[in-house]
Amino acid sequence: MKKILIIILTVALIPILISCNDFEEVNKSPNDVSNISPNFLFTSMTVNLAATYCGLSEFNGKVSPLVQYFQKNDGYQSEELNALVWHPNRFSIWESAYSNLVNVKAMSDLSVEEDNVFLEAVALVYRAVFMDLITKVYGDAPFSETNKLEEGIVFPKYDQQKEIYETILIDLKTARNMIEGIPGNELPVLDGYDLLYDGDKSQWIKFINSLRIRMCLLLNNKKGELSVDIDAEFQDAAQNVFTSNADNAVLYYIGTSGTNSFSDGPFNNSIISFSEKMGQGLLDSLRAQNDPRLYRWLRPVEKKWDNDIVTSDTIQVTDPLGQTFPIIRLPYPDGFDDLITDMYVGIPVGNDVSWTGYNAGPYANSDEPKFTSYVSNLAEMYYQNANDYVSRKIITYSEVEFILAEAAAIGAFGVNDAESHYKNAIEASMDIWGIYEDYVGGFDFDNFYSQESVDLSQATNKHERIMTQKWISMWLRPESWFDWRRTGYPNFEPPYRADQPALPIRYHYDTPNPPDPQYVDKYNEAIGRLEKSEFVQSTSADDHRSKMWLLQGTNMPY
Amino acid sequence: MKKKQFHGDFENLPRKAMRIIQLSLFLIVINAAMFFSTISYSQGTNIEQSQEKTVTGIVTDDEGLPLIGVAVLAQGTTNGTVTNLDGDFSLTIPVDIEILQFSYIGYQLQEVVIGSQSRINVTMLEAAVGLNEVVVTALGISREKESLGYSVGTVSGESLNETPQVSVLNSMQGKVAGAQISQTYGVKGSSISMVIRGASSLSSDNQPLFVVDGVPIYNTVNNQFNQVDLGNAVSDLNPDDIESVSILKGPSAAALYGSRAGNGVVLITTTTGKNKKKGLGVSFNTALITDAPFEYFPIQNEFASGQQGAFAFEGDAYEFWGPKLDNGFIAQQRYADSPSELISHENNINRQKEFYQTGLTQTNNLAFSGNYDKANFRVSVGNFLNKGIMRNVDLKKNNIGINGNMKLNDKVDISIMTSINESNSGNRPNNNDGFTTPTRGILTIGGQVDMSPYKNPETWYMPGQEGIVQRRWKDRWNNPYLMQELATTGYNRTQAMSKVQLNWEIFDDFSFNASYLRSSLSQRVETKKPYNTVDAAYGGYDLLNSSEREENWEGRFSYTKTLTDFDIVVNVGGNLRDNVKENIRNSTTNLVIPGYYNISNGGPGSVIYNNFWSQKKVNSLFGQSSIGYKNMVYLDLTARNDWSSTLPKDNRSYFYPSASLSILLNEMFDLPKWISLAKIRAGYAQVGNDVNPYQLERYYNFGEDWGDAKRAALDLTAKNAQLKPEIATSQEIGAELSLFDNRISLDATYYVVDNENQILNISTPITSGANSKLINAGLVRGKGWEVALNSSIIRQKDFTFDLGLNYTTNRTSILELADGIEYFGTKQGAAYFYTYPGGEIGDIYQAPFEKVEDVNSEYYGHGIIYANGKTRRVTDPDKFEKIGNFNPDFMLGILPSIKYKNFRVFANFDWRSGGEFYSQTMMFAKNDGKVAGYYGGESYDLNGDIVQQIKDNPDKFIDKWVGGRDSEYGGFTWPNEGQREARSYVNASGEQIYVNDASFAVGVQPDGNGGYIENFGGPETIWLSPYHGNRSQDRLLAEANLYSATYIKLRELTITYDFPKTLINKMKLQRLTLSAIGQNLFVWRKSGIFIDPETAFYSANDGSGALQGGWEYYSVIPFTRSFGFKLGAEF
Repeated sequence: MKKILIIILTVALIPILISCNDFEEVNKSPNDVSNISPNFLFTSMTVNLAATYCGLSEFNGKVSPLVQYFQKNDGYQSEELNALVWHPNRFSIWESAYSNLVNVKAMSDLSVEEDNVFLEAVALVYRAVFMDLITKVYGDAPFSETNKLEEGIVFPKYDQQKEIYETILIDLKTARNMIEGIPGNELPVLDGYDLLYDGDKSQWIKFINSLRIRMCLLLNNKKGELSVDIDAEFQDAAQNVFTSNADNAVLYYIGTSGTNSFSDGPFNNSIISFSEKMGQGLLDSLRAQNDPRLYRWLRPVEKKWDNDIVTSDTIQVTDPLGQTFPIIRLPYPDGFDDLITDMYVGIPVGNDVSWTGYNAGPYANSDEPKFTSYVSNLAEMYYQNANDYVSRKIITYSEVEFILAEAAAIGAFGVNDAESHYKNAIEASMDIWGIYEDYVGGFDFDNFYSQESVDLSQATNKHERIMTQKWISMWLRPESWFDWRRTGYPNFEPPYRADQPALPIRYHYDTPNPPDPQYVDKYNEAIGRLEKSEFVQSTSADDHRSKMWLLQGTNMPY
Repeated sequence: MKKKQFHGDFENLPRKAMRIIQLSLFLIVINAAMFFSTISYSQGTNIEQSQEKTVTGIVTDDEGLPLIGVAVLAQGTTNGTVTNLDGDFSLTIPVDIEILQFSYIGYQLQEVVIGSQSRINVTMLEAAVGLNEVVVTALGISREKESLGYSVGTVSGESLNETPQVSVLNSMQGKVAGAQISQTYGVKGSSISMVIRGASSLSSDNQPLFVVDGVPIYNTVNNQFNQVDLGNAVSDLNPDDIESVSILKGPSAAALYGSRAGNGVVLITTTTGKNKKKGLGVSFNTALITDAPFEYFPIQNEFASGQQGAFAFEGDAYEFWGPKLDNGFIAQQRYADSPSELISHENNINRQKEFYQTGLTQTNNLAFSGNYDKANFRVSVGNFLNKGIMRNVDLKKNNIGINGNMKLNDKVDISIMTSINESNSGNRPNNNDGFTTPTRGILTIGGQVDMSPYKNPETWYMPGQEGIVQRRWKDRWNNPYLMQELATTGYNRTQAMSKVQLNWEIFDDFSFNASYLRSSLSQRVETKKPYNTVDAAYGGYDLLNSSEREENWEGRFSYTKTLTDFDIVVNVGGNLRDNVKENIRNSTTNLVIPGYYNISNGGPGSVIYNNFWSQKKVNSLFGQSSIGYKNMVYLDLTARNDWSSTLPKDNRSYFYPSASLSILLNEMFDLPKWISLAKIRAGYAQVGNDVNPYQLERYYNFGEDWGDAKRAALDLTAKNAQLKPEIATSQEIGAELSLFDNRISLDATYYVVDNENQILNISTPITSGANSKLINAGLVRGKGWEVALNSSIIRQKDFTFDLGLNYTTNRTSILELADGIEYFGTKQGAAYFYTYPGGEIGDIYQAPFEKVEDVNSEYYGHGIIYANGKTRRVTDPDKFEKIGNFNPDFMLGILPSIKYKNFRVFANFDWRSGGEFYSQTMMFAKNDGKVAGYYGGESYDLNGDIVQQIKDNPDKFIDKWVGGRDSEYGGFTWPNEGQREARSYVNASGEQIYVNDASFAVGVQPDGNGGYIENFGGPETIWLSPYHGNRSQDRLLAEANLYSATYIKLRELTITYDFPKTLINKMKLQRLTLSAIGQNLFVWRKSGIFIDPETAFYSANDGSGALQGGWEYYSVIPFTRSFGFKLGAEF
């Protein structure tokens, strides 16, 4: 009996001895990792950078209605978006940009640990791009004291815009030099993790330089106040920038889930309401210069008013890109005198009511026009999950050529030959949109270029001409807003019944959250440095029409 | 260096102790096994032959009726019997036995000296209520209530089962002083929050620990999946199995439960065979209840959908600011061939009546019990079926409970308990506000819509596209009937708990108790989404399997000694706890084959896999001692030390003591005879609390892959490697009085609880590098009174009237927060639930409009109107205004009961007084123009000059808007001819109708020179549509949608008939009762609005699992009344 007891006792004691509690082990999360490869952050950051930047002017942003690419014809707060009635915090990028900066810092730290110079340089570049975006959208912004929670800084100060640019301009050069210093042409990144250039060293160098010249041009009006010699910076960078569309910094959608699909594809928006309609001004410009990109971006109306028929019928229309659409023709109704009978119809800029019924004649007060449109919808590709033409373009060869053309035109940075850069820029844009591939009978660019409205040599105001063509070529990209702010071109008309007779020139800061007095103090310091324009109504200078340092003293855009 | 070593040694201490306990436990098991093996043969030889005699007799009650099942026991032996159906007994006993004991539940114990009698007739006397009440306290130790120095609330099983409820928590509503129990959503089976002595933790759900027969069980409120509330697990318990519930309200009572006791402990004791009649017994209960909706959200039926009055009828909006119905407005409507007049179809109340249905609840329970000399057992089987008040919503529960106790010998007994509670549903209601929610959808369809194609399943889909393309009345909305039937979230949950406990009386006064306590919860929940719904173009399937398991190994030595003047009890023990949690979730938002719900049907690249696993261990040592002196003074001391795996090494050990004193004045002094009990008590205690696992280190999370590349991101919550345990310190004093032969008894407690080092997830600006950070902060103090008053107002033979009152009041304030944190709280809609140091939890603030601040201005106090005609709110928190607090001033449970002959009437009134809540439902209903009474802004004399009216009475108009949908409701004629034309239409008779809905926000426009232009309806006024007038004023001020939370509910009313004993004896029954039941027969709200303030809860979106009080969103479920019957029988 005793023996049995001892045996059982011994057997029972083993698990007790083994079950020594190692609390540290128990409290290590098996779900997440505390140390990973910076490559995994690199992919996240590339996707988020493209999304944050392009999101400004995509269908869920507020920049496109401002630069009049499209107007919303229904949907949540479409009326306010069209009238440029902007609200603090709404469609803001503050939270997303700064959360990405947290990860950019983490990527930088991990790269240093792993001794990966390339990803360390990328972290510098991405930080510069995010900060550039934040500061040009809002003005002064937390920078030098960000990501220092561990050091006890809960409420970072808002650095002056000038100082931010002085830092990030040099950071870009530093990053370029770091990458140049990596031996060979293969960059140290996991296969498939560099979503932009697949580890191509020379393209990364061109990308950074292209970003630098974009930034220099942005700062051109203020170069006297900067401690950095931006002429030298520009000239250094311009030696090796994008030379073809193959260099473009573009992220393509994959289209297999909501995350990797376009915002209005079925994954993200199961109800396609076609609520984006091209602004009438852009449509007129495209039509005036017989621009084939129109057919890439727009489809004809589904129902067209026609003065020449008495009974409705359906016709098939083939556009210059060889796409065929059915169009229902309706006899022009009695009692209406302002209906548009064109095949392509946009929406006038700004409105104070829903445009659902625009150009719908007798059907205006019903819910019917939404489903059979009297206004052109954007092309089918904008309602797909993924399409090669619908991508997130961070900076392109076309934009680089426009930058060079503008620099030449205004006599900046010692750049010459505005015309050939300008021509390259438009040509590159045509190429991006597949015009050469699809134009039935072949696209004759020279013929297109020779039109009076396109040809730079025939322009009285070359700067304006360049900026107008750039605006068209930069379709659905936010850069047009920053360009207009800087140059006043193209001279956008304020929308009908806008909140103010002037277009917004910045985003309202996110209201301090948490609204801690220490935070509010820092915030108040920053808005104290904003300059109210004549259009600012509110008591606070934190207004959509206040001037940040970039615009102060420039008389631009107003 | 030295210090570190000290820590190390200290930590080793419990480990060694644990090993000793485990070892002892093991030895006990061995011992038990040996006993089992010897019992069989020892029994035969144990019986000694001796001289015996037989005693017979009859046992009756005070009315002379025989009592069946009375236990008759020869004192000092295990020799006994029970009375038969006629109350007769016959017992053969050794001649040297002198006393017979007669015991029967509910009656006083009788001891009769046998002497030379061979026939003994006994009359049992009913036990007086409240005297020597025994309550279950921490660790399951039964104590006489009068010896306790702290407040324990008790609810008997009988009182719990007055009416059959879904959850034991429903049954407790109004019956416990000091506890606020709220159903968080107006549907049977939804989560129920129980908060004892006020919410003291700022970051947790403040729910108490539930312990069933010693087994701590899982109970998650806010058990949400895809916006569907799956109810809390404690609701799965079988109320019929509950013998009693003890509520250990403060740390004093609960200190022995350690970390988790900060919010109190609810000890549930299940029914055993022990107190049942000797031999085998059977009891059966069945009940049937109907739930009839009777009050619906009052949606107007006068105006059609739209935002812009008659000007534009449609749009994708859900507002009801459209043209007047039945007024000649012609419009093209969806799926119609040609435009037609907008007419009202069935009114919205009828629409809701059609959509909802009468629910049905059925409960059955069958229990067998056995009570024998050496053992007792009880096996219970229960089921519950509920058909919801919404279509295709159900709830089922199945319960099996087994417990038993066996005396292995004089020294050792073993108890087991196991209970399996399963609940499941094919579909639970979506309680969110989203577009997909049918309960919202039904309120969103304009009065102009003919519902018939949406009700009929055959026309849910467009012809030829069945299952693929939904017919919907608007793009952005789903057909609520289709959603109710096809978009479902169902679950299946099994909760199992078991206990094996061994008691070994080592010496007379010294015993050892070892137990293994285990509870587990596994839940499978799946959401199905059909094709072509608003948020799921290709449907979807989401499946989550989760499981939780807790194990406790516990060992305890007890020493009990009764000396002449002293009663001493000492308990010392240890506990090893291990919690494990696991989730596996797979989902797709892209079904290849419509209607086939399987993960393998997910489109390529669309399936998301997720798993989560966490573990936590806590080791504890504890001790408790109680010293009583001459039944006059009792002193209790407890101490416990916990070591938790989730805290940093240096902070992981925490100690907490408690002390309580009870003084019985009636024993100490010669008090008047009418005072049967006068007791004062005082208690002091501390408890600590740890955190969830993995809160010390910041981790990276993997996101969805981008093609072939992995993606990761840093968690945006900053963790804290220096976290300290939370410490709650409580002090309470109380008094108990029992007067006039216990006809009045009073139990009152005042308490103060200080919560220090609270672990808070405070928000930080993302620019700091994280959007929140875990910190230890603050001092939160809760104070309150709990009073229970029971009185027997009439006590006659055939007629008694008792009244119970439970009064609860609590205020919790923040005294300190951490450096750099100015407030704690969240914002919902226009309401800020912020508490600043010095303020009370539950405070509600709003951001007022920007105003003329110059006191010398004639427009002082008027809102500033901007060029768009609207006001703006200030953003500076210093200018926020406090507008209310969501906590009640007091709560009162009123429990009258009347007994007349064989009839009993019981009622349960629940009165909550004071406090406010913010109604987002009302905010949106007004914003959306859905409720009558809000067709216009602030009322004014339509025939008078509005400018003058505003000037004469500015206070009435400040912050308001003026105008309306048309001139009848206060709208003005648009002064601008163009606008006037634009807002007009040609009606069916060809007349031009001007809508005349010009409106404006009251305030002043800055003129740019420091002066102001009146926006009072005069020529300079900036006119708005009424929709925008409302939107810019009423919607933005929280005060406009803040309502009183005061209510009175008649939760329960039962009339029970106890069949007379003469009758049931003939039927060979022990008990037979029939009850008529009513639940929620009336609900009075002081606010006068539809919303039930009890449901003013919303799940926090911060991942804390907390339910936020004080606000609600789309609580639009109709009020229901329930009626039914219950039949109970015992054999």
